[in-house]
Amino acid sequence: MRTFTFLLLIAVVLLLEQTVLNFLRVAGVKPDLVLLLIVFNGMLKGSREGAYWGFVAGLVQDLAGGYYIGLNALSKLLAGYAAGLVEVRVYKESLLVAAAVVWGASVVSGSATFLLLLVLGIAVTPLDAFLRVVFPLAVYNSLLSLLFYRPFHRATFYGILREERY
Amino acid sequence: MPSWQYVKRVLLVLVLLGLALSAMHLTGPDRTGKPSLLVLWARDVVAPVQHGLWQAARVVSAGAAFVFSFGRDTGYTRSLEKKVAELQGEVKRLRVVEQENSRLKALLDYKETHGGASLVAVVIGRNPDNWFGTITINRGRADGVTRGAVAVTPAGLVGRVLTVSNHTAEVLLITDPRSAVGSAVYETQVPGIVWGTLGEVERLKMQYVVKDEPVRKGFLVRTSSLSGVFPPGIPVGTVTRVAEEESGLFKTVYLRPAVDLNRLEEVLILLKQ
Repeated sequence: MRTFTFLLLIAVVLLLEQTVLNFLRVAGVKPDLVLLLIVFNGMLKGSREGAYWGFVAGLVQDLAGGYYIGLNALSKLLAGYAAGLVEVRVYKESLLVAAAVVWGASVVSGSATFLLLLVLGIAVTPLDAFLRVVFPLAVYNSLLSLLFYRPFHRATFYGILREERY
Repeated sequence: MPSWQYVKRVLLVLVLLGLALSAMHLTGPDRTGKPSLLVLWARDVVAPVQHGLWQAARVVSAGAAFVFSFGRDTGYTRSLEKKVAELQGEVKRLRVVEQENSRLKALLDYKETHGGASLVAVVIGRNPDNWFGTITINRGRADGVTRGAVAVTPAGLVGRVLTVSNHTAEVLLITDPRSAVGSAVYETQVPGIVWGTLGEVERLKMQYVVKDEPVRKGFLVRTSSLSGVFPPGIPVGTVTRVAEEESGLFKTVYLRPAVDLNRLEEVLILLKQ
């Protein structure tokens, strides 16, 4: 059930990213809600599940786009894994910790995407990539995490994203 | 000495990385030509929901703009802004036509430039990430749209169709880093290639502009007659900055797109004959 709910959540968020979030651009960027889901999940469930769901969500995003299958899968896998590394190390119920982890994971994911674009021969200058996308997006995502982390935390332990135990 | 467990893990990561990189290369738009049938079918199915969400968000956004501008940003001011952009595009187009007439170009083919079959399409979505620049429109193969068809507005060039499903099409914007447009500076006729920089950034880069030719801020750049993809004479952008290239042979010209690509609502698709 959790798997199905998480997949549905990813699909809905992707649809929002293609439509509604275009009207919520700040400093030229729109938030990456798929990344938020992955990072929250990684923080609460550990690096193994963080990486797994990062890969799955990224792959869904790639398949929906139809091109460069693997680009988002790899960058989001890394973000999920990185977020999972803090699982046992810090006080993960704190909003500020969540915001900091989201910032870091967004930078990891953005840097990976930038490098992969270079590998694909798509020329984006480092200045443009980091000043216009990676850092503004990391700040935007981390601010939004203050809004969404608590509901996700509750859903993971007591709500629709809770693991079933038989 | 690393343990066998560690070596196995590293090997697995390397294999996964290799597979992902190969998949990325093999599924680039220049390789595959088009996404799988399943993806195209899914786009058709999702299109009505996407259209509804886009329209709803547009209405909410317009309402919010009205409130936060203390009533100054109304539908009337937006329609005036749109009209100004259209008129500016018209002026630019007329300047181009005037120049071409004055040179008595016998090969001027007005129909090819502006008079071919076309249809209006409504924007219903945009790429989900912040790197690429594509829009989804509500017209597809069933309406006669084909891959490579050019998208414009009265103000200038928008891009070209990258993929087509039955009822939707994905347009590659000229700001996308994968986009290249054969262009020329209107005032001096010096040619160059206009590249996108980042999908969400309203800035273009024109390269391979011969160093000796004068190009200044405010000059108009339009599609070139040498471009095999775009009809000639469509405004692409206005020069904002000129920089020397390190090689010393060329200069790089930075442009602001003629069309406000972040506020697109409808586009005109020039159908291929």
